[in-house]
Amino acid sequence: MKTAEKTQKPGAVKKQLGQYKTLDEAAAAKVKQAEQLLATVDWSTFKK
Amino acid sequence: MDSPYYDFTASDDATVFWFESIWQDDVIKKQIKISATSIPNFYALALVDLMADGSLSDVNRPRHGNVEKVLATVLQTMLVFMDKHPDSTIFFMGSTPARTRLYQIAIQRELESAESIFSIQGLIKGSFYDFQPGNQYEGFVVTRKTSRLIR
Repeated sequence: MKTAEKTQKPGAVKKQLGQYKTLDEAAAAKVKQAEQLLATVDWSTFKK
Repeated sequence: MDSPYYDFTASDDATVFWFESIWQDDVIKKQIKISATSIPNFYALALVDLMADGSLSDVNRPRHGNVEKVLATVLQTMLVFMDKHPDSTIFFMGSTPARTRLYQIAIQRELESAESIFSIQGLIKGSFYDFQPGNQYEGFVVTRKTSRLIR
């Protein structure tokens, strides 16, 4: 069976986890991370 | 809130902040963006480093021994944000558990002075608790207790 090879163009920068091109992209990732965690919260424990 | 912090620049709407973390001869440019979440009045804070290749990273290993000063700066930016968005609650957490622990240590050092201005709660397994040193939190929420004149 032929194995697919992942190729990377010369000079291309491999994007790493936690690395972003723009501040908006980083902020969107943080919002998503926060919303995932807050989705599981018992809001009766939150003191405003 | 008496701890030293870095001078920072804010956007007009006080949602984006820029500052430089300076340690010995090394300078790291840092950016903060506070963004609305789908939960009303809940905002998420992103803190990133500007990397040499122009990208932004929130997993860059802290190489400066000044986490306290960086966090003191973050708390100051929260004050400015909350001046413009008074009913807001800001959620923040590290990009990794190790970074969240670093934030926790820095909050503990700031707690005595910060508590007069902020209410800080920590999140553990789906429940919020008043911040207590020694507990291990997954994230933190900050609300402002007192009003303050805009600088």
